[in-house]
Amino acid sequence: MLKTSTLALIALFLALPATVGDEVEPGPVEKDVFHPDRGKEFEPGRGGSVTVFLPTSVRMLALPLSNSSYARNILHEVHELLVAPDWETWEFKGVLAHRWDTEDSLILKDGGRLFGKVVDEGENWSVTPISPEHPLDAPRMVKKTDAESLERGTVFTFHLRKDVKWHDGHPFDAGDVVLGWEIYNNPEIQCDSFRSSFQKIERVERIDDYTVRFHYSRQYHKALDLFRSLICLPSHLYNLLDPDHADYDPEADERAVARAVNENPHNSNWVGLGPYRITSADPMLYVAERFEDYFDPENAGWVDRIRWRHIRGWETALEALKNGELDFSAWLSTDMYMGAGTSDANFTDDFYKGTYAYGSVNFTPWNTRRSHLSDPRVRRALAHAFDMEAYRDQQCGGLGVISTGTQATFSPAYNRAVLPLEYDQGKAVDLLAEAGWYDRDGDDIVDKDGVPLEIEYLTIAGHKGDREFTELLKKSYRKVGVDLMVTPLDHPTIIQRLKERDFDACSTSWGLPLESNQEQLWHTKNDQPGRGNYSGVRDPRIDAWIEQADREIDPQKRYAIWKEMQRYLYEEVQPYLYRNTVPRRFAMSKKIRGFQAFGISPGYSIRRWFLTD
Amino acid sequence: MIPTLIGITVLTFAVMQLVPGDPADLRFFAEDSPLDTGNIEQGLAQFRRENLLDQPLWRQYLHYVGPFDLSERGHTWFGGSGEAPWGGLLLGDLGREFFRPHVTILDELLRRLRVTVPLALCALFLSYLLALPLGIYSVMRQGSFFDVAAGVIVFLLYSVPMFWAALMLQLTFGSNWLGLLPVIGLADKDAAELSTFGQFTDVLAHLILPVATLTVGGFAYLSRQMRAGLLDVIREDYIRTARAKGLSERKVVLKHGLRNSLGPVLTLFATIMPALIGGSVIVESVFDLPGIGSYAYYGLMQRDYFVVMGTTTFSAMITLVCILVTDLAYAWIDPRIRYE
Repeated sequence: MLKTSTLALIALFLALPATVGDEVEPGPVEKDVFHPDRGKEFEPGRGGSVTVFLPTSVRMLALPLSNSSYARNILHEVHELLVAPDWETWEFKGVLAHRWDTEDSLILKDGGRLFGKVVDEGENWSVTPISPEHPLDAPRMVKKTDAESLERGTVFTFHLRKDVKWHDGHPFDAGDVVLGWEIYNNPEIQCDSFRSSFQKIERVERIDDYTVRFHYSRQYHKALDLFRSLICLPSHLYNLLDPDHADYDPEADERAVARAVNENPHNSNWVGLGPYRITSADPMLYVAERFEDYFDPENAGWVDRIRWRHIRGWETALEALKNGELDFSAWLSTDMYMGAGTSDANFTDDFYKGTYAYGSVNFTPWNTRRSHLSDPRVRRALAHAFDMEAYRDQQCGGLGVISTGTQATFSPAYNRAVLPLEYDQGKAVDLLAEAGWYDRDGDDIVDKDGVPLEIEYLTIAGHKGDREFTELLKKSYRKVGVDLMVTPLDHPTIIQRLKERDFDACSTSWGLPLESNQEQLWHTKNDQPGRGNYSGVRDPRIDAWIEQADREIDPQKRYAIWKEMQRYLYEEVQPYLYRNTVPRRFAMSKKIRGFQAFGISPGYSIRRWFLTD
Repeated sequence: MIPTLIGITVLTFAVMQLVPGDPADLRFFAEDSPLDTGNIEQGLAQFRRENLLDQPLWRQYLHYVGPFDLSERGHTWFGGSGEAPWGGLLLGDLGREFFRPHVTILDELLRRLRVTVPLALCALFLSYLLALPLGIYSVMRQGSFFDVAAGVIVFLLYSVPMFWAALMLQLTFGSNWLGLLPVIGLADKDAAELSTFGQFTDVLAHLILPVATLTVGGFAYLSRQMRAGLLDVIREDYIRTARAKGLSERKVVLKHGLRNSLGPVLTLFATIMPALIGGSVIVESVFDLPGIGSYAYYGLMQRDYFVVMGTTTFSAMITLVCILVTDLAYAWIDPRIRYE
């Protein structure tokens, strides 16, 4: 789950005739949907370069340490994973691993553990070994009475390709995969954002140079998905205990090993496994050029050079684009997208624009721990009091989808039957009164126990979209007797206020994968300040759903759990005021062809692009 | 100089501590970062420990100043492991970035100086080149339409905020209107494919708007100072004597008046140069240039105390050096001044 930014703007799903739409489904994706010459066929050819806009600087590319979605975007082209979902079918396929075996674990009452393909044979479980170098040399029957529990899909054995090289020419092998997991076991290595996820893997075996086996401690619905975050690291450059390392030190202690990772210059000057290798690394500009020894010629990309350029401010980036200094920006505000800046000949001669659905949700978390916001009736009243549809129609040209949950609206886990609460200020007033809030002193602000209903709303200073939204919100709330006080702050201060739960309400957003694990957002264990449960929701029913879904490996059953939880959260708890779901608005040079919009983040693959001139 | 420098570091350090926002939070809750998926308290504590953010302020400051490294890897006298006993400003060590610990701030500053200093020097040179003739000509045409018009225009230019000037220049000369000049960066994205001469002209083209922005304010200020200084001088008795001798006005001003009026204008070097370096924060941000101004901005937004302290200390040192150079230049211009 990605927290994209508080700079959530307005969605543009429906208006443009060629829009990709808010429904994204697995299957073939059409190319160049928005290109004015989309009917014209071009034969892809190698050569040229593209420059892509980065809205924020990227400190480093070592994802376990940097934890940045933009670093992940760059890594898509300069690195490879063991397995990854196919852009179009969403099915996992092998990349560095040409195949993998999935086995189950049978936990025995005597403390033992068997793994293999486990089949129900009436009174027994049959355990059949599948992967190589297996501790069982033949199938084994286990009485059900001897088994403590069965954990499905908990052992993964990856068979690695043998033709893969790091960008410095060093061969890739199982040691690099193991290191990608081992770093999470060293508490001195600064990879805490992913640590608890990888600690679900209790053991990793290096079977041989090209075979690695991972053992999960228990059944986990995202067991395979987690390997999308497992970044193989070049052991010969990162691991002091590797004899191939220039500073090889078999006596190196945990701290020294950690320092070699934390302070490694290759965290920025990345040495990877992808079709492009980093040739220049600066937080403002990353340059990657074709890596001729890339193992998969069919996916080696067409352009010779890719640049990721950070420019401060979306407006400046648009200027730079029109000046020919950028070729692609996926960050256009609504004003920029709808305005003259992308409609006049200066733009349309060389560029075109479009949208694509992107997993995200814009919302205002209510701090349910504040006494005046603790009553769900108050939060529901606040949802009824604002006409979100009118806001969308009048401020966003009638575009956008209003979410009612924290799954991407195109996710199979999203409950489309849960509709936004209707705009009804009368109902809002009634709900407030029911909760004990009405105007006792004639100042047009409702009050209770002598305290007026005042809500402080934190926004990013200088953000036009947020400013317009909060102005309208303030006016609407005033009509039902609620005083909204808008406090613009800089981003670090907002983070601190959120982390300390020192807020009433705030404008923010989440980026969402195809299926979002709701534990981070709603489980009671994450309601401490600083965790993702900003609103401070504590509800045993929600915790139970989350724990049930966490173990449920049948997707359809799991989606049903998430959908029911979404309904309950929206209708009974109402911890967020949801805004429009944001599709990405992009601008692109006409000379680039092969653009496809995918439901998987970042929504495009540069290595599929080619130039026509 | 030393007490001034110490004062500046103390002030900067204190101000940074007053700014809300915790760098450790930004390490894990960055704008685009995935949510916390587990227990990151340990990571936060480790980050704070390694960067001394959990230590008293006086200890953090002394660590920055040096020469003892007070971190856990620092001097054994202060409880460190002794791995890296020495460090700090006194030894020319400005520390490492919080979020890219493999990057030393001094190296990064030196790399970025290659952008900021040429930019500032170009702007300074142009400011003097334009301001001196304008000031002199205004004096020679005192009270004329030219003098009045130049006064009004220069006053307007002086009043223009630098960020606004930068944006206006971008909008005017960029693709929005004239489309004559590049609006961001130091080089074209395809500069590597150009010839050496092509690359040179490309860089020059990229520098025009940032240099123009930096020049506007300094030039306007200098020209007014030049005019005022020269007007003071030409009212002196010896100028009257020169005129009485029958010298032309041009000779009176240029030969007798100019040198004596240059002193105060040159002294302004010490004011203008630091202002240009300071102005680079805006110019480099708007034009997206990788100089120390944009580095300071980055440090501030990331709450990287060491980056902010490093850039500030560096700018302070440049200011102090400029003041020293100006004092020496003063003595060179005016033989009556001698330093003991």
